[in-house]
Amino acid sequence: MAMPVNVPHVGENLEAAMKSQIVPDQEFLLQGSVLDTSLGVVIDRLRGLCDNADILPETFHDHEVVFVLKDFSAMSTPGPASQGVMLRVRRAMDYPDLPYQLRYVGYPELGNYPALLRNCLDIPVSNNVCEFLTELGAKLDHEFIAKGFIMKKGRIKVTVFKMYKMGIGMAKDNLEQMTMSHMVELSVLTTKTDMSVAEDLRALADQLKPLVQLERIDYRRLGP
Amino acid sequence: MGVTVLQIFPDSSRSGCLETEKLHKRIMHLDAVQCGMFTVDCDTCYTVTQTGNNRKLHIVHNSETPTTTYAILDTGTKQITLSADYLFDLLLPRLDFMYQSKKNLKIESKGAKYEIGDFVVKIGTVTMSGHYKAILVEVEYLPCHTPALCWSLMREFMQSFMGSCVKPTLPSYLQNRLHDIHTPQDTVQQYVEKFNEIREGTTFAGTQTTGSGS
Amino acid sequence: MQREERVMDATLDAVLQRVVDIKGSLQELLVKIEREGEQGDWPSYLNSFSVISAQIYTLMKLLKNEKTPILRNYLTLPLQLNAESDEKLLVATEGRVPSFSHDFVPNMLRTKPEPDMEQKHQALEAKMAQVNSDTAQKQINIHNRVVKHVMDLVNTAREEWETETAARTSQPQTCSLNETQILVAALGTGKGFKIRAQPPGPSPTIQQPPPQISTASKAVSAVKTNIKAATSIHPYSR
Repeated sequence: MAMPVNVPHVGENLEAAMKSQIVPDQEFLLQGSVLDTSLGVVIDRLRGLCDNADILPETFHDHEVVFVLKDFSAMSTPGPASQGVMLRVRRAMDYPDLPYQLRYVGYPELGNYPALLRNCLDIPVSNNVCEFLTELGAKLDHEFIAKGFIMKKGRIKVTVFKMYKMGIGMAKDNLEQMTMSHMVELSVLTTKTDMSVAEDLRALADQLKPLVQLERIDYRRLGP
Repeated sequence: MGVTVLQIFPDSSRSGCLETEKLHKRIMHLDAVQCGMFTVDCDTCYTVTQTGNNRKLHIVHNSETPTTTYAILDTGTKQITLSADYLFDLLLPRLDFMYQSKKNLKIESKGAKYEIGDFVVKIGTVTMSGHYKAILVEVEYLPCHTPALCWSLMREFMQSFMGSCVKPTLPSYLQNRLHDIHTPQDTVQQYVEKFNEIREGTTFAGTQTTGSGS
Repeated sequence: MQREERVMDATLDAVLQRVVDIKGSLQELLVKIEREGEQGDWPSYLNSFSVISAQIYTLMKLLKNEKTPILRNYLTLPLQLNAESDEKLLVATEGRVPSFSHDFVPNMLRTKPEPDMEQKHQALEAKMAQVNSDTAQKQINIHNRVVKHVMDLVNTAREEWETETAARTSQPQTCSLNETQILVAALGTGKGFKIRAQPPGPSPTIQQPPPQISTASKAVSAVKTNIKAATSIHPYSR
């Protein structure tokens, strides 16, 4: 068995990748929604536009728990330390064997991009991540259920899903829906050096008009 | 994945390569086959906030599981090991308002890997920020998954090339997990334990009469 | 006298020009029918018809104009017939009339309909005269009623068709900007997911121990524990 004599560090590989900016940690995103009554039309349209039009779109049923990590004892001081970082944990309720996903999503970047651009890390983790985050000092902020369809077109990920609240006395099959609409998201993970894919995202969004208006929406600019 | 035991090999001469050379010769007499190299490295982050209890976060990589980052949180009362994709490393800078790593405490064990029948032996030289600190020997027995069932066999094998530094009782970490199924996390946690001992400088004392405090 | 002649010339020129226009349009239409036949585009046929009818209308207007001398007061008198072919005439008639001969002149200069046409016309006139005026009125009424009925049918069909197209252009609403904003805010900040049944719980510095989850293998229950926690305890009280 011939093995490489010099074993590079795992960390070294990652550092090199960071330096040459080939880590896919940037996400382009367009968001919109569709009323439940028109869901079928949108799904049919998307099936025609996306890959694998011959098979039914894959479904997902996720539970997302959002933690906030910050120094809770120093609440009054302004600055990043008091604002904290949101860490999202997702697990597939329909596939309990899959690893959990730890997700960090940065604030939308300023600038004239064709779609919303933000820093994004999707990290598969072991299933004790909730306990880990709690011990790390993070607190549970909120949680919800997302249920819907996932499709892809090339590198673009298309998700159409409905969000449900979790609360007191809610049975598994009797969830309280957030709105009468399904969320529609087009996203693609890319690198700092490769921004070309954003145009593809826009093109796909245009083909969904006027059924769905997909736009770059900065949630911080929405009302209080 | 079998059961792994980690053992500090006392280095009275403090030379490092002399002792690893000795171990290499001994193990080759047992018909071992050298099969590559390995690295295990560990970075430690500390809480920067003044209030609240101090927690340590060890970030460990093992070349045996090259796409995994182990994040081991030590709250003082308990340890939680998170296995994550190595993208986890990119998350750490985002948490620097809470946790910051001390670069001069970066420690790693690096060396050659051997196969002898059902055993895998890794002889590692431990360095902390470039300075030689100790020798760590990892022995893995592949066919078994619970320490209770194979410790005596492993002890005999280890004593055959390391001698009396191998104690008859199980290391305390495994003693508490005698009947649990051994996982890659357990291996990494043993490394963290040993790395902590080496950092605190309590290693050379006690294991051998010739050991000197460092 | 000279002035009258000039006016006459001008009028004839104008009439000729209009007639040439109509002829051109007719030829275009003929070519279209020949080339496209039934595959032809219906609106374009209609266009041709309306062009021709407009041209006829201008011609009639010209003839009825006050300044136009009343042409029927003028006589055209063939002075001389000639059997020999006439080049100029051939060119002027676009090859239809080779000579000013006995064959052609009666047709070209006639002011009455053809004899058999005249006969048919007279027969109809006679028939009309025979029919009782009451019966005629009745038939006219019946005819009008049938036409009106057909018109009604066409009109309702047209109305239906128009409302249908109108409905298609103003599509039903498929998305709501307001809902999009609610969803995006919920996804981004958790707005709407946070349960605020009571005023914020005890100070966050007082931490109660979170549910104990010991081993990794049991961590599936970690999330379940969280769900349970959310159902039983207020999330901020942890």
